[in-house]
Amino acid sequence: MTQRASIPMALALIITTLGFATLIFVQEAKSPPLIYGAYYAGTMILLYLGVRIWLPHADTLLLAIVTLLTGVGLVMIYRLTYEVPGVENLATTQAVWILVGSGALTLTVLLFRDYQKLFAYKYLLALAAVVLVAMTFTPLGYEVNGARLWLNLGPVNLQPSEFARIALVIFFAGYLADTRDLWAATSRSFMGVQLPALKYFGPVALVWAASLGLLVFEKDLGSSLLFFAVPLLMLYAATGRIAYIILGTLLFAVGSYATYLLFPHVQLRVSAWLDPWSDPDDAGFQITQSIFNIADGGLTGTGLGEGFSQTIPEVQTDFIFSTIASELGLLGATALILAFLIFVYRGMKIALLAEDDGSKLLAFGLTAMFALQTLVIVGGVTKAIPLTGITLPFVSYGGSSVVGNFIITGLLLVVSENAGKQPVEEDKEAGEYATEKVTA
Amino acid sequence: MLDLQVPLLAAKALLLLLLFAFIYAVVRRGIGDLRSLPEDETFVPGEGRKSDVQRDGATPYADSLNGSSKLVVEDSDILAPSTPFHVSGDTTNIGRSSSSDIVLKNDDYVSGSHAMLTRHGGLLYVEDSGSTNGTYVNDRKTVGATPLRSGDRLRVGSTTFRYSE
Repeated sequence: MTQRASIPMALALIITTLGFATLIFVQEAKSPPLIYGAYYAGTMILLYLGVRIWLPHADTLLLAIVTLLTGVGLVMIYRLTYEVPGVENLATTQAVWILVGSGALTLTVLLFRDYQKLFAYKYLLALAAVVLVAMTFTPLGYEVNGARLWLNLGPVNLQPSEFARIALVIFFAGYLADTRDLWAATSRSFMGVQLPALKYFGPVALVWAASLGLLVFEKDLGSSLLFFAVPLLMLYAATGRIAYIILGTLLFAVGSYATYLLFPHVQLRVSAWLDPWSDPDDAGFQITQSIFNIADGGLTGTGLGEGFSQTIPEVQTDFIFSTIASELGLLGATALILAFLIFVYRGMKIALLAEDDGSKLLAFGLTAMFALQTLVIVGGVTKAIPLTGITLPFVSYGGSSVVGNFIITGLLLVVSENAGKQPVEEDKEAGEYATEKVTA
Repeated sequence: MLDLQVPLLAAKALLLLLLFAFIYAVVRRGIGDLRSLPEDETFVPGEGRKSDVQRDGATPYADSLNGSSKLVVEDSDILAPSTPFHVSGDTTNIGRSSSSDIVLKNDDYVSGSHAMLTRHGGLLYVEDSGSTNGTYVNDRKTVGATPLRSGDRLRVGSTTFRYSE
């Protein structure tokens, strides 16, 4: 499991530096306060070294990818906002969020090194997740662009669903690991699908329905999609029964149709996806601008600072991938997607190598969520699927999202640490050779 | 304007080059381990379990065979050939740890708790207990519980057993 990643780390930081250098020297952008650049590079290097020391068996390749993604994100956010009045400090704010995220990752690694104890609090975590999401309906919550998914807690505003989803994955991992056998082998069946007893099915269905229902009424479509799909995928991973996927797909079809009929904003999104050209100045504006920009990029892109993607509303959060495709071209966008793919591959690898069911499901759930989130937003901005507002992990501007994703990385790191050191603890005399073949 | 294009173009090319250098470095480190997977590994989710459930109820015969089944070492780095292990009782654990029923000590490719033999309705099933390198029946990696028939070869780490009833 141990992966040294000094060279990728260095490359990621060089790419970030080159990006800023291009913007400052070639495009004659005003330089951001250099101290933030130093903070950023210093944070990532310290994080990498810290993890290498505290978690010697962990998969530090994840951190190299996080460095690249956050770095490219910073360059793009800076490029999009440095001359725009009102948001010119967004890149430095993002740098601060990355700092906070690194702190959260460090805390995760230090506090939950023995992450198994998290499973003991799984019901509490599920409750916390539902309460967090429900809090947006209290006076503390407020609406942005028609979706009520923000909390105003004095000095900071946060998007509770970004944290609730981590708690939910931990809950499902802990619960399914305990009851896995009961899910896989059962005698009752409904429409050819074998169903477990209500006693075991109940908590999962309850938490699932509660979180999903709240999100749908919040009009947070992107998160609803994740909250729907990730537990299903985890259920499939736990039991190996394709029937759950089929049942889930049916539920999804019915649910999507129902939300389409019930909510006008869903109808708007679908019609903007099917035919953005019927209303290119209003409903279809974001998506048409996004496609224009991606096409403008061509194979190698327009070059940093040369594109026109500032025209897309919300470009620094949901549509940052369009800017990347526009200015770094198909090649740059492909490289970024490959970086995401390798992150997901390492996550799945961690899940495969983890010793017990709980750890496997935790790593799988977190990775599946990460993968799905990337798929949903990249698919959305390229008009492959209807657009749902969600961030591109680590790249998009957004405090809650960045901190949440750092916590996910922290959890993956502790699981990989545990998976990596297992053979040594198992048998001390033979342990040092046991890592030779396929490390356990 | 022209003198500005050249450094921009250079920066653009260098950035793309570096991005792919990063991807190359990460892929080299990250997925090199794919090569060490066995070639014939085919994983069909749920297949093992399904057959497990179906057979479970359908074959309630031959409990009388219980006592005589055994695993005989055919080839091993650590055990003498023809060493017999009698399989009795409902569950038998195979692994490197000394608490196992069949102990494969000092074999680095065997996990502490590697595989489990269970008896269901007269048939002996082998199931991998989440080992690192897998459990093989007739050179196929097991997924879920796999029934053993007389004459089957069971491989755990460097040791190959022949099963006889």
